[in-house]
Amino acid sequence: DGVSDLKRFLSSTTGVQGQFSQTVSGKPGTPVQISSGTFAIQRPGKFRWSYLKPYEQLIVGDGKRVWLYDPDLRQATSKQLSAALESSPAALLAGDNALDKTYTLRNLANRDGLSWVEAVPKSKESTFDSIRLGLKSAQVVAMELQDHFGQTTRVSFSGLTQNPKQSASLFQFTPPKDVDVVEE
Amino acid sequence: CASVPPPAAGDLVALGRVSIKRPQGNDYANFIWTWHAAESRLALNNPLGQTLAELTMTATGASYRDAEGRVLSAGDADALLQDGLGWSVPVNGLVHWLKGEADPGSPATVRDADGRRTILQSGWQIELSEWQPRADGQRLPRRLHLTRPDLDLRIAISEWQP
Repeated sequence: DGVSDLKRFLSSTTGVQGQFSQTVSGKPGTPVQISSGTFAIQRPGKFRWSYLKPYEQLIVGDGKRVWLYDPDLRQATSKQLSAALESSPAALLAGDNALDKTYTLRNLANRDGLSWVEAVPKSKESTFDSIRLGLKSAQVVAMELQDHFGQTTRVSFSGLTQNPKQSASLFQFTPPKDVDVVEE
Repeated sequence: CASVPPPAAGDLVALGRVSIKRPQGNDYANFIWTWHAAESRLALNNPLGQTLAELTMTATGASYRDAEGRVLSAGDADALLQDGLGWSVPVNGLVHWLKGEADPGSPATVRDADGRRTILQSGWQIELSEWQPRADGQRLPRRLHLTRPDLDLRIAISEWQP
């Protein structure tokens, strides 16, 4: 079932890489937003979430801090990893195995040929009510998040490579010279 | 999934990111700005699309709601966003500046030179560039840089809809 598949994913996967496509919709009167890019995860705590289209935005978790870099705005901010854990489910996938420490896990019915798990954050200040993870042969291939305004984010993963050889530089970020850096 | 009502006909929508540099620190968010008749709606989101806060501005006043469920309303939208999120964003001015125009409600100087427009109004200098031509012959900016002695706002618009 979903929960055991997720636990198998977490225990058997130290790293994964691939592409993602993201669709945000649901709030009346708001246009659907579609974006895509590449991602890489190295557990625990390291991830790279790179939006490429329709604009560039890079999020890098180096194990201690999370960097967010916007080349158009020449702006890079970095936050403590714990504070930013909420803001990016890549951090959830890169989290340590004790997932049920921070989330309540529940099996959902199979759908679209995937087994599903719902993860409800135990901390109340998160920006989303719950995350649903879709797995296929113990690989996370889909993610859905609901926020408090009726907005649903659907992320699908493709071109997955499990436990690839990953260079350390993938999970480091050095801001370019002319970029404004803000540490929080 | 159920078909979601798209923005109403006649709405104009800007999708982009904003970064605010100020002495106490810095803020950054994705945003969606919707002009709907005389109303303006600003939604501030994180990169994954979750709404952090929403501000609605009408002729008679402004209302604010955030992810923690707080709801506030006031006559002035700038003050409301400051109370709600602690962000100093000149949203009243942006209703016009985002579209590359000065606010008709107060005096302004507007200069156009080699593809850049500079507006001086209500204590702000607003530089607009990377103009996108529109079907109706209008043109809309995709980069804004707003400065005031104590504040520096940078805005990149990735998409104008329609």
